[in-house]
Amino acid sequence: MNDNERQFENFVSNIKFDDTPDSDHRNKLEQDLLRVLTKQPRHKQQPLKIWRIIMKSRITKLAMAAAVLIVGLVFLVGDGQQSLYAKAVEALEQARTVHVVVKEYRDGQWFKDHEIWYDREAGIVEEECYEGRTDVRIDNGRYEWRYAVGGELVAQLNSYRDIDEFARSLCTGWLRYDPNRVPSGDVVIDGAPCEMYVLSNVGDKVSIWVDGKNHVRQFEEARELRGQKTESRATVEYDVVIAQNRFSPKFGPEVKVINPREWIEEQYPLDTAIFTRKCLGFVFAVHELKSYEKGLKYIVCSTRLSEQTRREIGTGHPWTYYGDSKLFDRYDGTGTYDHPILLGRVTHDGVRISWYLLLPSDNRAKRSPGCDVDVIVNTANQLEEKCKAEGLPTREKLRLNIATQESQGSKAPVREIVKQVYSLGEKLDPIVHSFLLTEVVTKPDGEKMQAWRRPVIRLSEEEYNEGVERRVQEWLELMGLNK
Amino acid sequence: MDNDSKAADHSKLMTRACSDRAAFVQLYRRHYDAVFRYCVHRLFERTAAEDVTSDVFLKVVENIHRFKGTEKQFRNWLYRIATNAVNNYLRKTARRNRLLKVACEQANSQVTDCGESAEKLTLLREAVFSLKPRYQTIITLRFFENLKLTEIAEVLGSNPGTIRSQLARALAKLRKKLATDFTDFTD
Repeated sequence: MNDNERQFENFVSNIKFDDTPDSDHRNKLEQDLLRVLTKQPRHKQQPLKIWRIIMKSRITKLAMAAAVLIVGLVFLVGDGQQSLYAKAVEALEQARTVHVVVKEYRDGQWFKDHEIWYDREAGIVEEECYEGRTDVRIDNGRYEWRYAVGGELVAQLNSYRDIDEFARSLCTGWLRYDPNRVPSGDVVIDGAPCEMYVLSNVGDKVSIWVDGKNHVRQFEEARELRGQKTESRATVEYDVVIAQNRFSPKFGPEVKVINPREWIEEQYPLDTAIFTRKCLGFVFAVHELKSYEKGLKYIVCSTRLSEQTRREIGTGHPWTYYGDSKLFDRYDGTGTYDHPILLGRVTHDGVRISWYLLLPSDNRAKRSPGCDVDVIVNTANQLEEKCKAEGLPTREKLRLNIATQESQGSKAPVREIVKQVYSLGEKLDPIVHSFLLTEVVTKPDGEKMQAWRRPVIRLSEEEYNEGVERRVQEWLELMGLNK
Repeated sequence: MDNDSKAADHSKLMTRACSDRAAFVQLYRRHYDAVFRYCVHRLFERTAAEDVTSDVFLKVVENIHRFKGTEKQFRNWLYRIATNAVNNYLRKTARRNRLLKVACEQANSQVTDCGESAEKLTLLREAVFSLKPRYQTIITLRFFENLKLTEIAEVLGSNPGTIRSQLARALAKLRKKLATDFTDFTD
């Protein structure tokens, strides 16, 4: 215990809390718990929430389906016998290829949601379809490609994921739980008699059919979330013929194959930035700062690992998060008049680009020729460890006080800015780690949440625009500037 | 009973508690006080703490079949459930304000009885409530429930190094809040 801790301990040592438990409450609660225990069914409750969390991500959902067939189900039969899970894994290891199609039931029809081809030797191909768009991920063990069908960009990365590991990690979800055998649901699938197993919880049900060779042949999920019912069905085939060129795609001349990080850095180069500052192993930069009427400003910033930092910490996985920067109102007692709201950001391989609107907090902002906000740069993971090892701070605050590039005088810039950011999101959406479009949207039930373009939450340009305009209006009204 | 026998006894109790009501009650009685005290130390108000304690044990009943571990791990699991329950409770600003109001009223009524202690309690809860929920949790587990950093790390699913630095940050913030009022919490 250090001095600080000791001092605080001294401080609290003579504070008297009214924390003696009340035996009446303890006894009453005990009786309540016993009643609940009595009513509770003896069979195990299935934690379908895990399934729900996993299935929130479309990519994970897709991969989850792969995991089901790659690894099999965790059907523990106990009594020292080999579990159904183990048997399914063993059966799967005998299969050379697997093909899965997942469909979702919407508006009275089944629509293909995703499709997976897995070849033990050649790799994995995943396609996800929504709203007329198909996103593809191909991993042949050497490279991974990500793209939207018909898009102009294809990301090519070194393959970073061991497919078996991918499957193993996925199988730790809900499939570990012990489903109930339901003989009344046994069916014949493609001529093979299959046994039905069910996991269920209030409003949620997952049904799984396993054939006599211990292959999972089909699984269905029906769930209800906030009154909304969804159904999906996955069918699984084994040892089908898969064309090998699926795993080594050829792209036409109209498509640009890129390394996403390099591409992002080319779009937002440091040598044309209007402001740069080295900080904690990062380079923070401002690429664009424009002011519009009524004190509204638009700013584009980036944080990227410096080349030296890359060499020192040896970056690898493009998904690794090393930290970032955020803009804040200035809270140092001197007053601030630019209020940043985040419009979107893209994060990939140690680079983050962020787009903000700066809203006026008072009339000074309308007269200000520049922006004045705080930037907080923080480090994470290997970079944080490096800073600590070198006795450096892991977080730093900068005061950003710079002049705008030019005066635009546009009367309705929000729509144009939103269009620009959304369009970039569309372009980068399937190929980078993450793309956030707007920080907060309000759902129909009034709850506020983060809205990412991906994964899973589909946000149209119109919804995005409405969300941003609503946030702008709310702020201006709060500040009494909406006149 | 030696330590090995105790450990074996606890292990059996944990296994039986899923299906055996008597075993569950035994477990409940062993841990009720700790959970209640933790809730009081987080919420500074016993009625709210009783409500949250009830929620915690209801969750335990619903989920105990999923728990696999020792009784010590069970205690940490309880703290984790209690932490989530308290944070959920505090998430509603109105509830937080109500707690602060009740706290002030309590302090005013106690001031003649306890003098400096009541005053310190009021300042402490205001200072603690000004922290992020995670910092509140760390402060409470460390100084009121006397958990080690490794145990706090297990409760919060983090590593001890991170907890240590978060504890230091939380203390720095508390020091800033409290330093002007109490000379025994200054350098």
